[in-house]
Amino acid sequence: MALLDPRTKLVLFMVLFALIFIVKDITYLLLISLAAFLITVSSQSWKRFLRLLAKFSPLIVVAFVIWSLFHRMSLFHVSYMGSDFAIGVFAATRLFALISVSISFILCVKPEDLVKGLEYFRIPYSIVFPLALSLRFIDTLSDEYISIKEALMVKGLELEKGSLLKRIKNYSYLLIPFLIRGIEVADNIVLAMELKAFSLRKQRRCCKGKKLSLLDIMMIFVSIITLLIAISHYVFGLI
Amino acid sequence: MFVVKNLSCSFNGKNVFSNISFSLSRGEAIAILGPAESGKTVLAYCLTGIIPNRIAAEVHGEIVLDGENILGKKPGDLASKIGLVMQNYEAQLFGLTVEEDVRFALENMGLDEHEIEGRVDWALKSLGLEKYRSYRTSQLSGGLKQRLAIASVIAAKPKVVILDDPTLNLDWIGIKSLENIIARLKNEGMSFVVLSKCVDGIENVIDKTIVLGNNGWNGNAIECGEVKPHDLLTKSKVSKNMKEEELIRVENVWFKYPDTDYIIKNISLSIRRGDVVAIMGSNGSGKTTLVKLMSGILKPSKGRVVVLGKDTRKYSASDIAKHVTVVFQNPERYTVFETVFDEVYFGCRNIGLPKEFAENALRFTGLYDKMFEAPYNLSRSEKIRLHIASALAMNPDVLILDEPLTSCDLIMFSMLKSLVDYMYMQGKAVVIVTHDTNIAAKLCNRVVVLNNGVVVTDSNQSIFFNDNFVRNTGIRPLKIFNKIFVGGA
Repeated sequence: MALLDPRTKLVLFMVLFALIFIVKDITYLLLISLAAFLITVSSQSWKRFLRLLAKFSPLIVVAFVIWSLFHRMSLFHVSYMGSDFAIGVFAATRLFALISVSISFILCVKPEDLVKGLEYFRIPYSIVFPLALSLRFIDTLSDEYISIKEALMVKGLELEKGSLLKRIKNYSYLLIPFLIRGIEVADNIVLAMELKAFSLRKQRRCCKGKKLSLLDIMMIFVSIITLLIAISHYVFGLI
Repeated sequence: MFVVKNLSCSFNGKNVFSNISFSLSRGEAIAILGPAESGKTVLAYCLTGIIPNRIAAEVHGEIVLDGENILGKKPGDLASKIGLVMQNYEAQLFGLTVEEDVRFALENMGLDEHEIEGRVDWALKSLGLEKYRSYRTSQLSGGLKQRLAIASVIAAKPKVVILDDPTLNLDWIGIKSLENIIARLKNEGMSFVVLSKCVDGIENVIDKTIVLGNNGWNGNAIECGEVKPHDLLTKSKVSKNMKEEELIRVENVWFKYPDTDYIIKNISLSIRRGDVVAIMGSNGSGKTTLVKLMSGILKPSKGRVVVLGKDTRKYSASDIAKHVTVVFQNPERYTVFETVFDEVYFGCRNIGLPKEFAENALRFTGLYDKMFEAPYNLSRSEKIRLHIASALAMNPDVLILDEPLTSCDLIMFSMLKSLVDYMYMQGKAVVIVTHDTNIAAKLCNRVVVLNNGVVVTDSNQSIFFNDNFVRNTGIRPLKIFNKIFVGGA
């Protein structure tokens, strides 16, 4: 996976996400999940993949139960009560595939790959830059949040014990310093951007993508062919 | 090459500085020294065009670069002429990776790809960052982030680089590394304006120095005194029985965050009544992690921390706060309330102490008269005193101060000294995390030095006079004349 160009990674995952919603066979959905797993194996992050998947497993069980028992229920009327486990299995499998591909995407496509991929695809910089900036400052804001929380905890503010309502109230104390820090950080960013000659109006040199390797071309080709076959079969009923 | 003539700046008629003049030749470095709030950052903003373009202010005088008056020009137009490494340099890092960050300004300037590649290679090599090229910026340590901020600025090949308080959070090794970087870049023809409280550690590369007072040239630099062995804290007013009592016991403690290596490795130590402990060590040695373990914010991965008989693994940080409080670095970030009194009373209220404790703490820190003012209107030094008052009001047995003197002025220093004396006389303990050897020598009676998560020294402060110790641990050597500036409070 590390050898692939960011564009290839984006195409690959876009196709996988699209297939989840097009495919209507449980076997193929499981194959998509297997593909997602193999991608994480190639990125040496399969242990985290399995750990995260385990965390989401209760959600899959809940989906199975709800779809099996309440698939005919509507918010507005009850036309028919009865169970259909086949639908439950299908819905749970689709959710399983969706979670697998999402985890694989998070683990295998680094934020910088995502941003570069979008830039190479000529997505306007006015869209890509805010995305890159927000990804870059997630860590900063998360550190700010943690340090504010710790500073208030040593002032005796109880955030770990007590009733839910009390804890929610206590968490509200974090809000003001966090908002103010957020504004200060944003203010500094604006100044720093000016210092680095940033302007959305000015013509800017954009990163040009490198030439795609043979592996990239093959991966993109296979992905698109698979997608076309799936569309022909499930949408148009041609194959 | 770079001349500043009679530069003055004021906000809404309030003077920040006036009639500043200096000149700089190619490859020269000037240090502009001044206390907190003397206008150093404002000067940096004037020189780079942020003032008056982004921040409105009245600016008079001339800033001449290669014969052209650039006062009032837009920061973006000056990016290839004057670069600024901000005090909060982390905000300057836009790239998700090191390489992207260095490219950012160059792409904004519209340079061609070949030129960009060449400059990125040169900047990364100059700052010794080649091996970090593909690293994410968030993975870098504080020192490396600062180097990256400098690399990103110099990649634009400015003639003058302004460094705003560059040594503020650096350990001694980091400061000496910065000195080497400045020397190397000066040889390549770059000029530097260093704005700081002192030039300890980088004085060898500074060609001239001016002092920025609260109102222009007449800064009030005073000698806070040389440190001699008889200066050291050798008090004996805490009774021997009391001294034996352990307030905090750290027993074979190991600590790691998920998916990281151990940051704290098998540390054992005790904090007793009457201890005034300096915790020292280089950046990333585990100092802040250790005090977070002592205050119950973090729980040990192995071993245990016992605070007055309470095992921190079984109690929340809020429970431990009745005995141990911490004033973190830059505490003004954590202000919650609208008045000074409410801010100080918050901690007392949480642990069930009456208002009198808050009032006494405000008196002690000299903020009693300002108790109904908004914390955001206080000066930086007052804000730090406010948060020390908040901690003191909780009547802790152990007070931990994490880098309390990053914006040191004489009032702050005297207040801290009184605070340490007060805690000592009460038979309590103070733990001070600091890079500053002089502060540790003057305020503390015990020194714990960490290196890579391990305690390498636990001794009294006479150890600072041992040259081998200072060299081997990489801590800042004692400075005979340590300047602390008046004002700024």
